[in-house]
Amino acid sequence: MKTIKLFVAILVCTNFAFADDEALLSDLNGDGEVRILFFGDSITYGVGDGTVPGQFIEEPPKTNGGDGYPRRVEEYLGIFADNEGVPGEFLTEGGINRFPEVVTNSIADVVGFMEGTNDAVHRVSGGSFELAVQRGINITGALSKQIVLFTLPPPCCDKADLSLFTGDYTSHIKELAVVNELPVIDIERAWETTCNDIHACNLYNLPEGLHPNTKGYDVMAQTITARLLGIDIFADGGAEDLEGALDLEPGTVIVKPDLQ
Amino acid sequence: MKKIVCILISALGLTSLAGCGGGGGGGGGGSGSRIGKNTPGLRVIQASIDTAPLQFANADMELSTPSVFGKPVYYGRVTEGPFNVGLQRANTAERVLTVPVTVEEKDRKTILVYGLSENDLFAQVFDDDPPEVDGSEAALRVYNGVVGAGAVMVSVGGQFVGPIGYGDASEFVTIPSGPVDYRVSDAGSDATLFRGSAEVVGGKIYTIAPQGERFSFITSPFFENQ
Repeated sequence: MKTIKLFVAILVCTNFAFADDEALLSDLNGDGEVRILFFGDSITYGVGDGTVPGQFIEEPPKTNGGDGYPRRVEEYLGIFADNEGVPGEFLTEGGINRFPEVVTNSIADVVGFMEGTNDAVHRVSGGSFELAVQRGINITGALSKQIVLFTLPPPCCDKADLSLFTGDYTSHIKELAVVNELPVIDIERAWETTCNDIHACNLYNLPEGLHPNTKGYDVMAQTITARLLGIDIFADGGAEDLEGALDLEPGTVIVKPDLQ
Repeated sequence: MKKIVCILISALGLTSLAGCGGGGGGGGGGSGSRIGKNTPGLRVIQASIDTAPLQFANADMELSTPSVFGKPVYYGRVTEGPFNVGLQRANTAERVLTVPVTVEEKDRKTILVYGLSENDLFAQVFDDDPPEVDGSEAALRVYNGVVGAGAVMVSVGGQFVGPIGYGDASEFVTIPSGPVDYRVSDAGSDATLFRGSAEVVGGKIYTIAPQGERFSFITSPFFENQ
């Protein structure tokens, strides 16, 4: 049953303008499989995964790059997901130089793109950040792959000072999505609806406040999976719709809807 | 019915063949403008790797789709006369460039937009006046928007085209119809910048548009003038 529901979702014809209820998974290169590549930094790599809310974490676990949200999305959807996260990477320096080779050499149909938190550490301007993201969009489009932009979760606690910059980057990401007619997966919004306290968010390793914990990566993966399937996770009943599509036990999806 | 066809074709990965779009991809596909033969036409090749899709700012001018890096582009309908073409970021009113252009009856012109980013853009206007070609051959022109490569050469269908300076275009050349491989190279060192292949139909006019940045990413779409 799960296979049938996913198959139907994948068959939706994606086109130039993306409504929130359009599925984003399509076998664009015609190789008979839908593959997704996740490009990013330590948050894509999965640093911090394996800890639970309420723990005091001196230093988030580095992990082996096999977990995080990519592995969860892969399991939810039953498709191959390539984790191309590099801890500590800046988008405007290393990331955008690494990106062309990674994407050119990949057979993925869809590219999930989330990087920028380390740029915030060095106060990279929103304008410079935007140029780098636009380059990523152009390269992916020229290779006939579908790029999906992710907004950045707002850091808190020990890293709260970064949120001014990540918030600015997120506004640039949303603007580029409009200009380029691209879909956005709104991780920032998931944090806003689901954190117990946005200023001391229980989805992060605390007191660091930068790398998600197990619950945080669950939230990311559920938000991403829902959007890839064309399910509005922030609508009333969105969590139940995702559970139904994936045949999950009721209560498994923990992303909360928008406040009414 | 069309949606059902699109759904099935999408599942088979054939979106570009069917004009279904296929999201950001599509390669040689797309739904280009098909303006009348006697209607003046203007197109924009957006060759800047850090620049967003562009569209006309002028209310009386029309591009059927924004001009996107790395994608085929088509002539849009314009009025005759001298005017300033405003180019703005797609889906916004944010103007990034103004280009003076004079268009006369039946003219076809290309604006090549090049440079690294919107803060550093240049534009050149070219008259597209191809030679008459019969059914056994096609005409082709190359527009060079590759940052950091200087002049480029293109070998295609047994012809060597160039050297073509940065921001410049070649003369039209004729090539035989049929499948062709093409190679874009640095005119100085002969280093390969891009390789591709295409199917050339006799009697048609084509564009090769190398673009991007040397040592980062270069693409070179090959498409019919429409």
